Amino acid sequence: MTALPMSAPVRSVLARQLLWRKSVAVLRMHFTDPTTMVVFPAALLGSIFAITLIVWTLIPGDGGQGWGEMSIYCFLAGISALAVTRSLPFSLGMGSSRRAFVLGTLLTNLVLAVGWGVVLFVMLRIEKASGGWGQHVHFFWWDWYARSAWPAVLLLQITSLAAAFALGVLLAALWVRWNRLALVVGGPAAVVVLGGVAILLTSRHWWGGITGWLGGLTPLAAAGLCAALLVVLLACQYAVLRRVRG
Amino acid sequence: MSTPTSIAVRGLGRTYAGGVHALADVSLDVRDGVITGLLGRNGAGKTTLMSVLTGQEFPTAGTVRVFGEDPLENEAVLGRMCFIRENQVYPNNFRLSHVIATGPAFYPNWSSEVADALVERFELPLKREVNKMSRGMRSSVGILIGLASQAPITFFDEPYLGLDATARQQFYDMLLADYAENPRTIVLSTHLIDEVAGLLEDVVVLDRGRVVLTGSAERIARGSCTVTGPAAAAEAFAEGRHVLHREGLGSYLTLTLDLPFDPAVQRLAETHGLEAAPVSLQSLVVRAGALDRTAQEATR
Repeated sequence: MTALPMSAPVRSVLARQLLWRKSVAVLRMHFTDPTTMVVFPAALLGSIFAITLIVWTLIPGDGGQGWGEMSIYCFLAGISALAVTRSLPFSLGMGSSRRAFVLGTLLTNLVLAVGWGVVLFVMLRIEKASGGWGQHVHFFWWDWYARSAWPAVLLLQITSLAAAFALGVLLAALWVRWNRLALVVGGPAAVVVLGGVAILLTSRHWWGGITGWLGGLTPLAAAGLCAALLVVLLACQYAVLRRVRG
Repeated sequence: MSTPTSIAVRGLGRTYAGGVHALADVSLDVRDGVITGLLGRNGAGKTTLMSVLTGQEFPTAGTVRVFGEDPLENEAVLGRMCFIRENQVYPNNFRLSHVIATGPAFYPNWSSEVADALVERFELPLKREVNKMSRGMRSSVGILIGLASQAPITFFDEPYLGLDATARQQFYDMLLADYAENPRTIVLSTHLIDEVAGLLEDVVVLDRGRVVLTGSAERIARGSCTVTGPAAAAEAFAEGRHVLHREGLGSYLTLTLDLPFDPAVQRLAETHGLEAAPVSLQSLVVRAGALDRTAQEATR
């Protein structure tokens, strides 16, 4: 038997290096074709933005809120799902472990969240500085953002984008692991749990307190919540993917 | 076997929901630096076995050791293997050029020369999306990844599907040339046995999830012969010998015997009024499968 001849500490260091190298390989794989991760979202955001500007120019009004930027969140959740269903089998075939895939996909998640977070933030600043693109248009801006300083807004955009991507990865992971069972069991289970929570909140008259608490959140606190949600989503991702079949 | 083994499997089982035994009590060794043929019919368990060996599938019984270690989530072991499935799914929008660009990130010894040579040899379109390629082109991409990876253990999963005879021969030629330059462990799953018999040093034959034959291809093929002739004479000749397979046609009988074919056997058979002949690996594999099924049915 050709065993790998090395001591336990050396093996542990080597294993970490290999894990890191494979995770970077997974990151590079996700970005090999920039169309999905960069070009499509940019085109989507750009076209929705252009249409909004035209509409607001033709029908002048005042304000609006930053619903436009929501398209990026939806898009990131969507492409992250594709990243799992299509890229996981390929990564495993190329000698990657599930752990390296999860870590490499997390790196991808962070790169995208920081990249798109900065783009949204810069657009937001331009929007504010230009008086809503000269038309009082609020494509990127929510009045609520004014409750915290600018860095907190940037932090919120990054953490919330990362959480959106991680949610997409988790949903896709559930699909890859259990296929239709995830829909047949998970869908009704989610409805029962959420319905149960809603009934509980209604019966105890807690809605007012919750909406009040949410309404009082600052962007900084929301960023903290998103970061916590991200950690939970990542833990769930690994729990689901660690036993997935290639 | 004197050569060290890269893969050792003992009592391996994989049972799916509903009690389907994809693999049952599989034990085998794959020798280091040798081309091993994983042979068997469709559904025999070849892909499942390779999936377990590469840590992509979880065994329900037994042990797998690759380079002496369990391959499951083992970075050091997994990074030294390459297994592109026959029905491999590629990342969304991935073109062949993307596959080639990604290869070196996963395999430090990735050979761009080999990749380029195969693109040219198989006339593969670099800009076409791999998921939308024809069956034959996708097989060629799988071959390209396997050969260019230069992985110490490379699995080829029925790599000829959709390829015409010329392309298949090109694959065999390139595999041999590359193997000669950089010997490594290659496991080739196939049911076109006669076509690859010359490439294989060792064979593992699976049938319905069980190993029915394993060992040196040459020794297995040379170790058997058939005798054909009148049934009574054939039965008399076979007395005291292990019969691997019997096939009757009217009053004539063809017996496959566990007896090396040589001129002495040929002469002996002639004295019984029989004709002796060597057995091709393919016939032997087919007969080993049939024999195993008969044995399994007899023990039920």
